[in-house]
Amino acid sequence: MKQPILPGKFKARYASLLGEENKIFLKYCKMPLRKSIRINTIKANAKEVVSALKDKGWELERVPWFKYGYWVKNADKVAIGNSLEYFLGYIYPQEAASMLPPIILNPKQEDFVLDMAAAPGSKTTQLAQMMDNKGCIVANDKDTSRIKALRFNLDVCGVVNTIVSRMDGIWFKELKERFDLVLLDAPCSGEGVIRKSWNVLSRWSVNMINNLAGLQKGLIGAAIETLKPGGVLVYSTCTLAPEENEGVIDFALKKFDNIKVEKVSVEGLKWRNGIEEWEGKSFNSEVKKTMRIWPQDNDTQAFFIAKVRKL
Amino acid sequence: MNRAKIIKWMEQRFGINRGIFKGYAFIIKNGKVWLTSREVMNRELRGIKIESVGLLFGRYSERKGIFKPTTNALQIFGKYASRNIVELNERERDDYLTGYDLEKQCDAGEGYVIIKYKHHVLGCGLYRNGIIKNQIPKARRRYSVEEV
Repeated sequence: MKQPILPGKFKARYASLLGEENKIFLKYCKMPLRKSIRINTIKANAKEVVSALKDKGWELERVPWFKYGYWVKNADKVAIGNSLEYFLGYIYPQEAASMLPPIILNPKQEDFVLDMAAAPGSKTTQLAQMMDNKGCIVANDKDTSRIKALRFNLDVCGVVNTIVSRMDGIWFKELKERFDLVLLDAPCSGEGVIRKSWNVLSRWSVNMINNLAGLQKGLIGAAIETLKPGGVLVYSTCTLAPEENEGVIDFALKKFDNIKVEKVSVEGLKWRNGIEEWEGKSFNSEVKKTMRIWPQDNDTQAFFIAKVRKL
Repeated sequence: MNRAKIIKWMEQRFGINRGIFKGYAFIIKNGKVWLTSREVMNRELRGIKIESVGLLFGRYSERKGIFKPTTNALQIFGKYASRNIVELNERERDDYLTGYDLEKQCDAGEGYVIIKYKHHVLGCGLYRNGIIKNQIPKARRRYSVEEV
C-alpha cells in the first residue's frame, strides 16, 4: 500500500515530547484514517437509522464520546457519500475527533453561539443538532467558496437556527460581549489530518506554523472580545504544533486578565495535558488544563482543544 | 410573495397544516424564500455581514406567479403532507436520485409534487403529462447507486 513520505523535520519534531513513542506516532501518521459518521437527529431517529444501516450490512462501532457518532468499519465496502441516508441528511460523514469541540462547548437551546471559522460546517451542524435546531448560531467564514460548502451542508442537514456570515474573524473584536459561546476551530497547519490528506505535507513547514500562530493569536483575541462575561470559548486546532496550540493560549492569558482555562474531561476519550514548555519557551502553567490528542491515543486524527471562560 | 401566501400554498398544494409553521419565520428577498426560527430573528445582529439566514425554503417568480419549494424544505415538511405525493419503487428511486426524469402515471395533480420512497421524503418533483421532471439539485444527485 502506498504511504506518505514524511519530511525529516516533521519526523524529528515531536521526538523530544514522545521519546520512544515517536515511532508509534509516525506509524499512525501514515495509517489511513478510520471513517466515521454522525447521525443527524435534526432529520432522523438515531435508532432507526442505525438499524437500517446495519440491515444493509454496514458494520458500525459507537464512538465512545458522542452517542450519535459511529465508525463505519467496512467503509471500503459501503459508499457513505452515495447512500440514501446521506442523501436524506440522516447521516453526516465526520471524523470522530472532530466531534469533540462541540461536545466541550456544550451549547444549550437558548444560547447565542458564534462558530468563527465554520466552513465546511461539520461542527456547525453538530452544534445545531445539540441545540435541537433552537437558539441561534452565527456560522462565519471569510472564504466565499468555503461558504458555498457550508450552506450546502447546513441545508442538507435541515439546519434553520443558523445565520451564515462572511467576515474576517478578526472583526468580531468590534462586536463586544455579544455571544454566550464561541467556537474557534482555527485555521491551522493541519498536522493532525495527514492521515486524511497527504497534501498537508506539501505545504508543511515551521515557517508556516509560525505564520499561522500569528493569525490564530489575532483570532483568539477577537473571540474573547466578542464573548459575554461568563461565556465559554472553545479553541481547537487539528494540529500538534505547540506554537499554534499552547502558545496561542499562553498569549491569550498574557493579553487578557479576565479569562481562565478550565479543565475538561470527556468520557471514553484518551488525551494528554497541554505541554508547559516547547523549544526553550515556557508557557503559563494553566495550559496544562488543555487537551492534546495524539493520533495513536484513540486511532483518530490529532486535535488540540482548550476551554476558556471569560470572567 | 409573503408569509401568508407561502403557508397557504403549502396547505393548498400539499395539505400541510398551517400550524406546522408557527415557530418559523420566513425571509423573502430577491425571488428566494428562507426559513428560520423566530428566535433567530430576535437576536442582536448589528455589525454582522450576513450572507444567508436559515434554510433555503423555496423560490418564486412574482411575474409568473410560481412558487417552488426546495428539496431540502420538503425533506423537513413533506412528512406532514397529505396530497400530491408520488411514491417510488426502488428502481424509480435510484433513477430519480441519479437525476433522471420518470415516466409515471399517478393521481397527483399537475404541478410540484412530493417524492417519497417508503416513509422517506426524497424531495421535490414537477409532475406534468405523465412525467415527473427531476428537481433534485445537481450537487445532491448520486451518480451511481452502490450499497451493500
